[in-house]
Amino acid sequence: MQFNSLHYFGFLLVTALVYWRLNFRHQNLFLVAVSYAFYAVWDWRFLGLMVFATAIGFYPALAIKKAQANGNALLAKRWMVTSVVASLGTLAVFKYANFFVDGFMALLARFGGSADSFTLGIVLPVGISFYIFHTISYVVDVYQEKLEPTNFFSELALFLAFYPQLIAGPIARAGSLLPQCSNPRTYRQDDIVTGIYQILVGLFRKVVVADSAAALADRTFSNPTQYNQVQLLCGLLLYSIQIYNDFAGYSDLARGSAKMFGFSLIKNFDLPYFAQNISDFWKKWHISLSSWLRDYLYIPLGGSRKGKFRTYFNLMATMTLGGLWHGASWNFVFWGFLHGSYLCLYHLYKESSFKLPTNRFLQEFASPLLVFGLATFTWLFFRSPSEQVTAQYLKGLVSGGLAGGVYWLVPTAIIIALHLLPDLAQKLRNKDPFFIGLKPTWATAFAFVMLVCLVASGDLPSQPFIYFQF
Amino acid sequence: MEQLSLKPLILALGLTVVTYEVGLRVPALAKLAPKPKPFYDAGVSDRLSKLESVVKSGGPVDVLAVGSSVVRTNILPKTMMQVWSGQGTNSSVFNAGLSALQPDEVVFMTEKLLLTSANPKVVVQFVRGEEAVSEVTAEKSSTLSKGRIERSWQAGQELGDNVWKLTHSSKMAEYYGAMSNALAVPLKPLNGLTFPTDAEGFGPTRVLLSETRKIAPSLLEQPECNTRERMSGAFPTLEIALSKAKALATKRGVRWVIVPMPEHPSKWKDPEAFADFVGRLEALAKDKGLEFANPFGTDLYAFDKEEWWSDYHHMSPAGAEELSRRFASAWSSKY
Repeated sequence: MQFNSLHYFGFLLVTALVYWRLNFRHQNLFLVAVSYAFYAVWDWRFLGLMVFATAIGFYPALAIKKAQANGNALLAKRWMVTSVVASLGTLAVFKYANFFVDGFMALLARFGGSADSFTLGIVLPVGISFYIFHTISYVVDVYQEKLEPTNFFSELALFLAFYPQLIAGPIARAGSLLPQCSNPRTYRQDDIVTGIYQILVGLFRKVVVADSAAALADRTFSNPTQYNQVQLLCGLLLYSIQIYNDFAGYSDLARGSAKMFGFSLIKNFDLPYFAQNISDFWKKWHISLSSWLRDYLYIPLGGSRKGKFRTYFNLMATMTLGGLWHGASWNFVFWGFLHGSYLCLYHLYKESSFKLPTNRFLQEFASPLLVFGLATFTWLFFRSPSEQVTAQYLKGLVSGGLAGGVYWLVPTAIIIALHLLPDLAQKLRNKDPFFIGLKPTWATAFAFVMLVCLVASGDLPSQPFIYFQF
Repeated sequence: MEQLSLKPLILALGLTVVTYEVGLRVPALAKLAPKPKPFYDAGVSDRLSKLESVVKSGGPVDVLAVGSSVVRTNILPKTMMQVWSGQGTNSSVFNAGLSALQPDEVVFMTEKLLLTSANPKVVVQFVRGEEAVSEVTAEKSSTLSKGRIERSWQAGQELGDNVWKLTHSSKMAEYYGAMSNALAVPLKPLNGLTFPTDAEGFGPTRVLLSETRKIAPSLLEQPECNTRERMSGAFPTLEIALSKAKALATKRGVRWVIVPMPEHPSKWKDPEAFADFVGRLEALAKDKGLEFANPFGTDLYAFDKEEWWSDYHHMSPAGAEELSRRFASAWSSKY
């Protein structure tokens, strides 16, 4: 059930109406049941895996608490490590086994070994990267005594399976979402209305901007040799716009949907294409993942506390593993590696005595443009289905000729303008959704433009969300 | 905390509906809107593009052959035109066969798509035995409702038949969904899945079927024989389809001819069953006020050579050549 489908909105409406008629405990049980049903629509076979992921968080967390209460730090650590290993092991089996087996077979073949078609054929359960990370953050937070473990299995089950964030996040922190599961929610009309506007903005981003951009971007990536420099450049620009609006749109839909039940989810994007530098970009892009990686990978590795070399190593390791999180494929690894390199270079620059001149133009315009250009170029490696296509795309960008491609500029410019509409409004008003506090006339005008574009795009069930595959 | 109100959104929603409902009814304004260019099924997209191209380069099409994949594979316009040319008639034919459609869906697609692109003098609708007993109507068509064909019809269907009817009275609903990726409209072809076609605009179906038959005959449909009992039952949706066809033919001022499509003899239990089908189809067509033509007779074995068939109702190129030649020869006097 796609978030951008009529089925989903029917499901959301019915579940929200029933939910607010129940008492607190029944609300939680009901949400767990409908979230499991929601997941079962994708693939019922993995419901057991979802329960398993909950169990390997719930019972070790209670054991950790008990061990800590008894002063047995070693036992608490063992329980934490066991739980994290079980979580990562689950992720490794379901998400990365094929990748490593294929890599091993290729290596074997290179050295003359037998590499006949051996594959595990494991299907990737949808959303696994997200709910496994939820489990890990919960257990680690309990171990670090940042959080009291819950005594109710249903509360942890809800934290993991809450359907607005189940498939593609945001990766909620236990410290933020679990208390919301544990405490009664209050019906507030403001929350509902805010959620509706967030859903409108999310739909606009996804259906109008991302899907329109995909129509052209997909073509250039399907066969770059057929397109010239202008078209390939437009295709790359549009993919950059597509992936941002696709995921930010999904996050808006998730946050808006959660509001319907009185929950607040973490903000996942904060205008990343207006970032001042690459480090700023990573504070604004997929915030829930980048902050998770910072807190549960970068800092435990030593962060910046163990000298320059180790800091750079930690940055590279975190970003490369962050790339691998997106999928079991070398292109994601390389994408993460490149971003790690950019971050290292940025930190080197920051620590050096060499400084570029700064003025308002550079800060407001040139720097964001440079960051956007760098991020956009790097998406090429993320999006390309193979090394061959990457090579063809790069070659075409440099030497693909210009003839006949200029007419791509008009739709590209229109899509960029549509992309900027919600972003600029949000930046100028510093409100999310930007409708908050807007004069009724302006609010009506913005909503009208968005609705007209939505109807004119009219392809609600078409493109699946990119991040659903991760 | 600053509060949000739903009033602007409700007002905007109302304005949007009014804008579309009024705007799309005013031709000058409707022209300003991005042109609906829906994501058809690849086969439909291919046929429609080809039809538009034929009309653009060669003028109006005289005869439009409509029906399911059996029309797509069995009717060769070039052969028919050659036959007619030899008889001194310069008539043009277009093969508008659309795979997997039942008769009522064929009429629906002819109305919605084909007649808007071509203005033929005659529409020839071919019907085979199984299609006559089909229970699928356009309104309950999974082919249409699951998005293979046209999203604007899908949008309504998901909400049920009543809403489907309601949305078809709404210009906005019709426009909605047909506008996927409207901004990229000038950059045709939009549908990246469009199959490559040969010089006549045919996709790979013919080739695939022939090849499949060679290498994996078991993959093809096994003959479920049409029996006399089956052909004596109701033709529930065919009646509806032919009524709609008559209304459409009258409205558009075209001749609409119903023709039974021959099938592999193995598809029929006995010759009488086939004769029953032809007889009932003729009676039904005439009852609805449509023309009926049967250039192939009621002989079940009129097309009995194995090399003429790719499977039990799709013909090989040689079979299509034979059928088209016979059809054109026998029917020319009626055209």
